[in-house]
Amino acid sequence: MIRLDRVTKNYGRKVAVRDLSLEVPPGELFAFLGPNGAGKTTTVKMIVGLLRPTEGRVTVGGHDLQKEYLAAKRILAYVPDQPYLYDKLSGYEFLNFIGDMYDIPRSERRREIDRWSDLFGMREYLNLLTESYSHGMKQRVVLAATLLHRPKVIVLDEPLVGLDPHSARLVKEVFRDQARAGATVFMSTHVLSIAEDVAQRIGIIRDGRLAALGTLEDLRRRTGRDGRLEDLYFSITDAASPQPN
Amino acid sequence: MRADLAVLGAVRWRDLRHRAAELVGRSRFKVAVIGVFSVAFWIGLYRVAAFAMRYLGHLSRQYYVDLLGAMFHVFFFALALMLVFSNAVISYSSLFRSKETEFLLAGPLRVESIYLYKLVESVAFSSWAFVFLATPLTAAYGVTQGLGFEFHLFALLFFLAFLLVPAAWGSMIAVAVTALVPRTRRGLMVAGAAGAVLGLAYLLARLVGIQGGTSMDLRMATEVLENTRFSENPLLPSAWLARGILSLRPGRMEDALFFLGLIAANAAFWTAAAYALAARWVRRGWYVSQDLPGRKRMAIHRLVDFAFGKVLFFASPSVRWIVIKDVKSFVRDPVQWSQFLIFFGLLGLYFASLRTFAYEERDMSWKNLIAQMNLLATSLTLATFSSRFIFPQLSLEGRRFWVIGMLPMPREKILYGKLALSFTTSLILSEALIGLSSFMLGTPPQLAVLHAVALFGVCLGLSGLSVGLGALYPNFAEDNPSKIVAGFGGTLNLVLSLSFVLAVIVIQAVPCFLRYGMLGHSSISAREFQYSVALVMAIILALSLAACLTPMALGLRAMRRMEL
Repeated sequence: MIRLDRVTKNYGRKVAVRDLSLEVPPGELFAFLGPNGAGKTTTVKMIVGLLRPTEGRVTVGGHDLQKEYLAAKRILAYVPDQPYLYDKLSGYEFLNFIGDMYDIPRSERRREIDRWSDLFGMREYLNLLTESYSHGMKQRVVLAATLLHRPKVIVLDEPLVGLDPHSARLVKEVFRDQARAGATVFMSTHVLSIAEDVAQRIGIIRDGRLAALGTLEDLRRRTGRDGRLEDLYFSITDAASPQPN
Repeated sequence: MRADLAVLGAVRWRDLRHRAAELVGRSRFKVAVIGVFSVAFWIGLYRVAAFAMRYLGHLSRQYYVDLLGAMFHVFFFALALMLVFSNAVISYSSLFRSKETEFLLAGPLRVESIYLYKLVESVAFSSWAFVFLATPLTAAYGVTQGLGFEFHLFALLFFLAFLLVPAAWGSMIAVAVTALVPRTRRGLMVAGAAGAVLGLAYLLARLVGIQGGTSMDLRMATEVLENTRFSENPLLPSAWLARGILSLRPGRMEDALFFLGLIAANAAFWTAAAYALAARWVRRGWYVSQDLPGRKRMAIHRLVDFAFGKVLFFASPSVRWIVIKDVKSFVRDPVQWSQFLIFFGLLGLYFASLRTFAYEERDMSWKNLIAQMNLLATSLTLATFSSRFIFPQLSLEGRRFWVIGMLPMPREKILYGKLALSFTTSLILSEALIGLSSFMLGTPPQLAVLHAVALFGVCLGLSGLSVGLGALYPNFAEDNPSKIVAGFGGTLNLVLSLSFVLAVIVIQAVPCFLRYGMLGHSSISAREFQYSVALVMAIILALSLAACLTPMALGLRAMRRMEL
């Protein structure tokens, strides 16, 4: 469903992502890990069409992001690392705006808003202006907005930042359920325990290159270690990093 | 496309409705203050325009119609030029540097719909000043000519149709430059800004270079008409607007309707052209703007640190570092400094070319008049500068405000830092400009000193107003300075700044015109003039101190109470 074919992205002379090929099929929750500045957000933004690859091709649901961006975006949902909300709209109005944007019929929209409001515990504040929300409240509204149009591909960039442990667990379960229901979920995160708990496959990017790709077992075999993902992650990312004296 | 626009229009409408309800519900006082000041300002402009028209009629009945025409043509030409520039700047910020655009581009919306939605926003932000300045002029014209209600109605229709033309041009320039000139965009912006400054300076120089005595004679009228001919070029939409409005009278309505139709057709054409361009180039421009290297290696700017360290010798080291941070942020943002360049570059070029008009060889009444106009122009530019750049400084700290708010120093020092920056920068710039003007004109020492002191007071008062009110009415949620300035605090600051400037100018002008009156004879002696100048300088300094300290005290109190 998501396919990156020999994708390279340069910012001037800096190579942010180098010759990246990756395919995430429907029904998979894929965790994308890597140190700060490794190229995670650049990759995510190329998948959702906010950045153009310098070389290579990105397709979502078979649609080329550069040529058929509207078709691709209709099946896509994106949660950025810094979610955008209109300060002077209530959460309810924002969700309705998303409903309008994706042309969701009124009755279905109401049902979906009710469903996600209950699940994320948003009912009590959904009629307040979003400017009064805490970061966690905003994040929950954005996550609900993401799921409103039943996307086939969900791209998440650090979706758990600012969420309390209850909400974080809830979000984990929600996206695992989405993947079970057939959606493709691409999650970029720094929270290794979440990747370990819910991801079917894990990709680790370092200095713009895909340093490792596979299931947790694959990574264990590759590193020759039997520990938690944290140990494997450090083993992979430290392999070529300069060691402190 | 229609559905996209309906969705975007609906969300903006809801947003505006909530803002309006909040403004009315929370602060009737604010609405009343804005309303009263706006009406007072509008009436002031109307009276000046009506006086100018009657004065023109009184001076030269023979050339009245032609001179009025020249006045309309030049006025609309200058406003159109400013509209193109401001629309280009606003379009660039709102299309390529906005979080909202990123959010919308990630959704299933056509890029050309997003563009049109942003174009409407740009028209609204850039054009209210046009309507605010142009309606008093046309109203004065309608009243002095005894034209009926239909004139005012049609004049509004003319404005509404016309506004889309410079808006479409400005936004097309922003899109084309961003999409097509990636690597040298900064250089192009500088070249464009410099070109605009030079072009405007040239036009201004042609206007003020008119030779003539104090009486309106045939030679002067002919010169005025010749020097304003450029604005009557039949290919300019601003000329259609001027001719259309001047034709709005019984017996010439057909001409007026022709020009209205011409402007409306052009508005539709250029909007359609901009829409077509957007479909091809906005995404490309977005990609280019995102592709610029995010990590620029910056020079350490030891020179800036050193220079400001020396200039701000009177401030504490922590205040100096806050100032240097603000200076670096400003210097590294081309959108900010290109506007600054336009403001002051224009004045500098004009003052530097004063000798070409041989004003220094004229009698004192002319020198005084030109010196007064220069002081007014410099002061008004300073008021615009402080409202546009200084007022939003604290708000622009935004979500990073906690960084300086948590520094181990009294919060008041942050405001003192902003005050020091504003005062020092504006003082150096404006004193250099007015010194240049005095030198070029060869004004007597008393007049030069009076103007230098008046500008000292203006800088102090304007800095206090902008910094103090900026702390009293901060907007930490907004990243775009244009939007911060358009809020209540920004509007109040602009109105108070203009009122303060006008008060200082009028106070200092009284002894000057008594001494160097328009017709060459003095109403007061040289000794009386000296005493008057001393008294006026004391009054100006007292007024400026009050204009600085009052808002600063309010701002400091707000800062102390501010919760991070």
